[in-house]
Amino acid sequence: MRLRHVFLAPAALVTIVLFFVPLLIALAYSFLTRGPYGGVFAPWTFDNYRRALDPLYLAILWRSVWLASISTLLCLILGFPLALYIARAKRHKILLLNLVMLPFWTSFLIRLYSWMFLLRDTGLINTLLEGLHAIRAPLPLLFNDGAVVLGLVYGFLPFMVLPLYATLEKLDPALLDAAFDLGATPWIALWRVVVPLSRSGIAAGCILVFIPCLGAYLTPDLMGGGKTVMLGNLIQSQFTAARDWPFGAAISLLLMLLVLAVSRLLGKQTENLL
Amino acid sequence: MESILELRSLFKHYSTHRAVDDVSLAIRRGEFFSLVGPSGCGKTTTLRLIAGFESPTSGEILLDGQPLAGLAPHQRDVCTVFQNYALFPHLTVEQNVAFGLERRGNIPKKRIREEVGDALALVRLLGKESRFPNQISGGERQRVALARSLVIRPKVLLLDEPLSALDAKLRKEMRQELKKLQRSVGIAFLFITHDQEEALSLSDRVAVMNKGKLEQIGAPQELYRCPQSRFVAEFLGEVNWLNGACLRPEAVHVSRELPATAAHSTIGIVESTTFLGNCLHLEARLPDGSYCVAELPQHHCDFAAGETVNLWWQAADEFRIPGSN
Repeated sequence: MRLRHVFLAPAALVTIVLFFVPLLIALAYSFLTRGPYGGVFAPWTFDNYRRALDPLYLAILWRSVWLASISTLLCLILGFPLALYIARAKRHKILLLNLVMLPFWTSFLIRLYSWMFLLRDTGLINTLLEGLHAIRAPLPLLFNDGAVVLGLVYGFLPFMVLPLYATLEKLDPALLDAAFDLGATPWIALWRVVVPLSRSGIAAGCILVFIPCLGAYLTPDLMGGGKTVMLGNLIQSQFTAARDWPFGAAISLLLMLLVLAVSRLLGKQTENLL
Repeated sequence: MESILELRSLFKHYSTHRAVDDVSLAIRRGEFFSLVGPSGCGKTTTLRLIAGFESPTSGEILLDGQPLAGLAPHQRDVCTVFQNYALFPHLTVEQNVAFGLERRGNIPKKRIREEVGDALALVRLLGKESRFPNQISGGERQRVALARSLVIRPKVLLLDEPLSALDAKLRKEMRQELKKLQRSVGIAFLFITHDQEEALSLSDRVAVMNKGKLEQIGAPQELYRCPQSRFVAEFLGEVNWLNGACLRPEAVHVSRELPATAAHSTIGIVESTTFLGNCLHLEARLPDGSYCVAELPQHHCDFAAGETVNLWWQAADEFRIPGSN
């Protein structure tokens, strides 16, 4: 055995034992029948997949895709100018990048609770506005789709900024000079030169944001107050409250297929430029 | 003659460093003008001031009589050929060349296609329209960059060391092509280079720059024969300093017998000879201990090191530099 194979072995072992084996178990479970208190029983069946196509669950799927898409788009709109600014900054690039990553120093759960503290009816924002007599009743800031999107955008923005920064930083400044020189306004130069040349970064950022958003569980659970159900929450409830492991496994696998399809689609964009 | 581009006491300071220090010059219509100097002398900064990528600390730039102050790069009727061409990698050759015309806004698509075709024909690139910049050679990229800038018919074309990225052979070929191209389009070229041979061989007039200041402006022959400063003399070629007079190596003749026609002469001991293909480089030590370099036609190859020879020259080949002895 070659040395490089030896180096590969620990990671390969972890991946096989902790990822592929459980995945196969989940695959097997998804074709079995639920037990009364959880667990799985014979006979083998396609029922779980058939059930997943029920309009009730398709609505949840649609809702997840929609919220994840909106969040990804917002991350892109917010992240692109930020990444461009940092990439073109003459000084303090590292400091600015560290500021983008600063939230990671605290647990995501704690940060979400902080948001709830800010947004709830008796939270900081509503209390402040009421104190200023700007509003009579508290604004409904928490426990709705808007709050979920806010939480997702807040949580995943750095994953958009970093790949965008990496591509924009490599962009030759002479190309911008050339665009201006040939008569392009700064706005045209952005659309015709900067955006097309950062397509790979845009695609990478979108993959890194969209995929975790699609399977998000914590954010919709806390910020949506359980009203806003996304696929992650559905899966979680199947394995706990509903005690329907086979159905939970089936939805998990369908979510994975969806994620693979999306990353293939966006991944093509990155290949074209490399 | 009327000037198309005029710089009036232009200054550009970076904190304590004077990148451009009181530069004034005027480029005539249709002229091939070179700005030459060692790296860091401020020539590229001067070009960037003209293009509008940087703003001057003080001074004025006039394009066709109109001051350029306050105009952004895209509002200036000059165009740059960048050192590494700065072609848009995501656009084809044709789209690159069309980029500037499309920005004009009111040109019909059909006309843009025609003009792009003409420009590509001018630089002999027909048939490469749909290639991407990474699919063509360095020389071809250079020509795309020229076509892309020329197609919008700027009043002055600025060229920032455009030949420096090419290998030696291609550089010489492109030199000829560039000169022909300039003659055929009739646009004034401001050519930036650190290569004195390039500047002398291409230009109608040359300005030599050093440490942000202009040393001298003139026709190539004038600069070479009558440099006004030691810097210009030495930057443009090798110089022999003989009792306050200066001589180019090719003006020095070497022979065993001193001919009667020799106006000035000295004896020297041959130190070394170097064969350079088209000529012979001979270095001789003079009685006062200084060295004299001669460039001889290659059939004078029979001098040996240690041999005592006569070095002689004509009075007309001597030049003197003001303020030096």
